[in-house]
Amino acid sequence: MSEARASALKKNGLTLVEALMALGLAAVTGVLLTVIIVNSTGLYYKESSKLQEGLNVNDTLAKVRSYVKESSGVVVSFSSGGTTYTSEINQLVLKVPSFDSSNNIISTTYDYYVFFLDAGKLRFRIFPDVLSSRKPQDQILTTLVDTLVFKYLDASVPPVEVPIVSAKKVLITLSLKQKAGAEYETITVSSEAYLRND
Amino acid sequence: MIKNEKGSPREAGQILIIVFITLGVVLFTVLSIITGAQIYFQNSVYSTDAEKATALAEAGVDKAINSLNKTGGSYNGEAETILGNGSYSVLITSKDAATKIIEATGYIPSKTNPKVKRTIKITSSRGVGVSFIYGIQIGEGGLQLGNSNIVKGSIYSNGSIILGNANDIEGDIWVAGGPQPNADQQTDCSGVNCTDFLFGKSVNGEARLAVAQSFKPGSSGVLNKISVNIKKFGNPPDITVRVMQDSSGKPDKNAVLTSGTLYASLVATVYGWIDITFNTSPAVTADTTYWLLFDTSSNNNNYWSWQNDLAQSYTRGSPAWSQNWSTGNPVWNSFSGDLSFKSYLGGAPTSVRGNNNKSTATGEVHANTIENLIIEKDAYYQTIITSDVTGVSHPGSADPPPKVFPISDANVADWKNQVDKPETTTIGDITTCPAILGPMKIVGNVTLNSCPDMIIKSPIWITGNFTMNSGNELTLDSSYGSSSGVIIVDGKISMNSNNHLNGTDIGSSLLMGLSNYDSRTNGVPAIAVNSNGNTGVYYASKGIIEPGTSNTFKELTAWGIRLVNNSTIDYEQGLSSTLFTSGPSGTYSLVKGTYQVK
Repeated sequence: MSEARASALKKNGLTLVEALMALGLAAVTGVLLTVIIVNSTGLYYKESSKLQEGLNVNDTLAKVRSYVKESSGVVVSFSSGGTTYTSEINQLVLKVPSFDSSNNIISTTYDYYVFFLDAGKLRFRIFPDVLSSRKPQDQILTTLVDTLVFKYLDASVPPVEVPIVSAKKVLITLSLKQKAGAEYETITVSSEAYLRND
Repeated sequence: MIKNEKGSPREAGQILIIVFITLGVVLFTVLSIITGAQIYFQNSVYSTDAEKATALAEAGVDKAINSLNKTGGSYNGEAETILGNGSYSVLITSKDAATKIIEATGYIPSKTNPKVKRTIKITSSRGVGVSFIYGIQIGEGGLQLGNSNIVKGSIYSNGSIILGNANDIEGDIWVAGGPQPNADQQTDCSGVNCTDFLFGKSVNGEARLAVAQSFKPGSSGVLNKISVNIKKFGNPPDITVRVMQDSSGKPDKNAVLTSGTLYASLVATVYGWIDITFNTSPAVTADTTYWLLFDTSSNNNNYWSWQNDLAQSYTRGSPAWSQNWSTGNPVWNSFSGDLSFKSYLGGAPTSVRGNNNKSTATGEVHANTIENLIIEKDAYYQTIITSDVTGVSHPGSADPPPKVFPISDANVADWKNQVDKPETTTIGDITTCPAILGPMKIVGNVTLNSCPDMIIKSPIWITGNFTMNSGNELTLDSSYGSSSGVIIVDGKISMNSNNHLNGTDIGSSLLMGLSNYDSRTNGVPAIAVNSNGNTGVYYASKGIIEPGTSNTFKELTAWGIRLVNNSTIDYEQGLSSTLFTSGPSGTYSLVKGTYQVK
């Protein structure tokens, strides 16, 4: 290339074709990168939701199992402070032997555990007897609850659903649901535990 | 700012910046997902380890019970025992002569460096666990209430209930569909033809975990109850019993008609007939083959023996065993004999009927026919007559199945065996007030006249009658702790007024009066109580109890009960987990309601 032509090019810039090609390449690259960013962000939200739900479900079911194991039986209903809690498909009332300050079981005396749904939250309450050293509790075991199902089973294999008062073990199925980007992420897990004190 | 030769900002490299930003976002996402996965993995591992630690602690409890029984109670626990991915330790504390507190801890991976540990505390006692879960439990003899009685607790009756005026039942009323008095099918053995059929363990390489006996009903109806002649070795768990249809000469695993439980606590170490009832009463057809299937786990120290008739005298069925009855294609193995059983069909009409001045039930009422009742909750029935139901009515409901009694003849035989020895046997009547009585067998009658402070050591077996006039105070010795005691009377128990049978006043301890007298044919009461101030817990599985007037009882169980006027049954909740002591040969078992996760 002669010096004059090179000088002319420097002076006049790119040709239209070159400019269009550069613009096209930049547009394609930009779109691709934007897609990657959007997808990546979506994946982040989705996986974060899964993680949170997974951790919540693990911890919640472990606690419910432990509480069910301690209980002497499923109670049809229990009233406290003007509120009546009834064992049913999405509510569970357990009676648990009370213990004294020396950690000894108090005969014929029971505290009550209640699991119930409250606006998408799984709440757990302990109502101790006046003689019991167990502390009252009111805690949220998990948020984001979509569905909660309790089934009352006997001890046979395979287990059979029985009336609440005859239950030997409880099967809990917990579904958590969270919005992850444009979609909802749902996780459903089941677990069961025997009433060890029945 | 870097500028080109004409002084404009240099514009090359913007795409690279966007690429870097994108890479940054992608990298952040990837790292977040990896971190999240790691957290989730750790959380899951912890949850799993926590369950494993709990299972190890429960294994420690099982080991402790087994060791206590093997060593006669001298086992003192263990520091650390490796098992699977972890270990467990056991601490034993004696509460009283017959009661041990077991504290077992499971560790993952080891006690010295635990990542997770869980502790379970539970009480174990040498004795027979008995569960009185109703204020009044009645057999086929039914319940007759006079007027103005109060029952604070529920009633379960296998026979009809007839109420007088204005009785108040502060609980539920259940009246089962009555079984026919005679067995529809039965088989037993005699002499040298009686052999053991062991199951719930490996026998000669055979893992006998499910045992079944087929039968053909003689007539169509509902199957209400079965009885089997069985004994146990060690301390096996309860057995699930199923009634199943037949498929090509085998139990059809997909056709379970109903199920029930054989309670291990009712079974003794010698053969005895044990009743089993079911969750529902299935319809059966005459001359059609059905199977009774007993399904348990394998334990070479704790297992069962079902009496087997080598003479094969039952011609309408045969026995078989399987390692796994519910697997894809279960293998059933036939063997010679017939396993001793009786089957009872229902059909005896039952009802609960009040009088014109209606009685009230504050709970639910379940019965084939209900008449003249005020029911404050739901009613389940086939027929209802002039009754008021506050809750929901359920016409067309199936009759409730009958319930077995909480104490079996085998339990009673075990208690008798404890004192059936020359050194604990007294021959002749007792008519004085000994300061301490028992444990002993008394061949004769016992008549007490105003013994105000008598200490009882259980068990006491009186072969004759037991009469208490007035003002007798019998209290179980304090060494029994929260355990209970029993006075077994082969004849009749009668009392006048102000007689009290007391436990130790610790926990739900009680002293029970038990009569073996059979009232079923002559209608003479096995336990007759006169009026005023008598208290206690009384039991007559084949007899009638007449609880008298103005008395207060914690619980009554009998074949039939005639409650006259103005008496109170004040059921105590703790009776649902009563433990009766046994002798030195008794086995340790877990005490219900004492399982704690720490």
